[in-house]
Amino acid sequence: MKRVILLPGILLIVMMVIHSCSPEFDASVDELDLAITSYNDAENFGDLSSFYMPDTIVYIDDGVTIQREESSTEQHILDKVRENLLELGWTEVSDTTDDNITSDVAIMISVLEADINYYYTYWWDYWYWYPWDWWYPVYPGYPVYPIYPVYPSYGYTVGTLIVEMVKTKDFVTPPVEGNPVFKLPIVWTGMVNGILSGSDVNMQRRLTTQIDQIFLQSEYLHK
Amino acid sequence: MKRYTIIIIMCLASLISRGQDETQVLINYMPSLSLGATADYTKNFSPRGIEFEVDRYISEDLSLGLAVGWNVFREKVTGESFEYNNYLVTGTQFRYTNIVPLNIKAKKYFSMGGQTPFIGLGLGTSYARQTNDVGIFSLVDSKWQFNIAPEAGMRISLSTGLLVSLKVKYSHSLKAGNFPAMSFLGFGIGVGLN
Repeated sequence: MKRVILLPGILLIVMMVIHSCSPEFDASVDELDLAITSYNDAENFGDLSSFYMPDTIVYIDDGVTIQREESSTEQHILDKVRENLLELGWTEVSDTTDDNITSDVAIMISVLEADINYYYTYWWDYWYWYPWDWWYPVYPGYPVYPIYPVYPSYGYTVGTLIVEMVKTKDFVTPPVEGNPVFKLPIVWTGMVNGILSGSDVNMQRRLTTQIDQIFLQSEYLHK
Repeated sequence: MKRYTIIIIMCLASLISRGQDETQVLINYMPSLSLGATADYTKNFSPRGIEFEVDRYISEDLSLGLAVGWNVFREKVTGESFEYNNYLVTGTQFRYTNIVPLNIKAKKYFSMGGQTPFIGLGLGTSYARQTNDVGIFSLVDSKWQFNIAPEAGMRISLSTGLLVSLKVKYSHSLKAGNFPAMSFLGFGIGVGLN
């Protein structure tokens, strides 16, 4: 009799513990933003002090270059990158042309967008439909039959802002288009990665934080 | 929920079906404090821990048994950068450490009527898995490690066939390759059948 009373108690404890052993934090969209940088450690950044920055951004959506109308967000990105470089002591050069590169580095900015989708099919829910419940064999490799309950998919668009610093000091002749041997001497890359969601104002606020961060964590760029 | 029910039924089946009087079966709830490299990665006192153990007496004051546990530690880290494949990454990190010790253990009992203090030593293996969810990425590393787990505690017989166990367990898994040593201090409270 005592065991009959005891068992529900044990059941309750085990249920609570097993449930609590699968914790996941809830993350806000802001908390999924990343600032990522890399650099060529053989480069002496002390020798580089002037930059040229085109006033356009290249957009690549799922691997395809696309045209976008100018937007306040695009201008915001350009302004923030320029502002950070100037604050670090770099000098902007604006008279560079294809035939006459006068800056030490060129800043190239591009934006990648990619859609990520998820689809769920919970095979264990299939058990509820039949009286043999516990005895029905379930194999992970089973194909998904139409009769299985398929849950709504969800997805989101991930954006990556890429700021690349190309060393232009040592070559005055631009590469011939399509030359497979030529490799751009990229000495520094800063990336901002996050989910594209929210208003323009909110996106620009998040971009400001992360663009500032990629320069903050690149102390070798400081003049 | 159904998978949880299966595990619960399996546990209870083991409890009910124990055959010999000299065998004890316990389920311990084990909140734990991460230590050492485990705390460097996920520093917290975690309420998420469980241990299932079976002890068989080989003499009046000595038992041999098996124990399998599961402890989860987690920490949210903000404002820290880390290196990954020559990239310096800054973002909010959601870190998780899962440790599953699987030990053979020996226990020495010091009988004092209904209350029985004991000391024990577990040896075996432990599966550890560290996950760092950062941005939309998840960085995962795992390893099987050699595990040693001394413990001390007290068993209290409440009535015929019913036990309550209180114990403190130190679990230490040795460094394996680049995977760091894992350790924690567990505080177990368990119920079982004699």
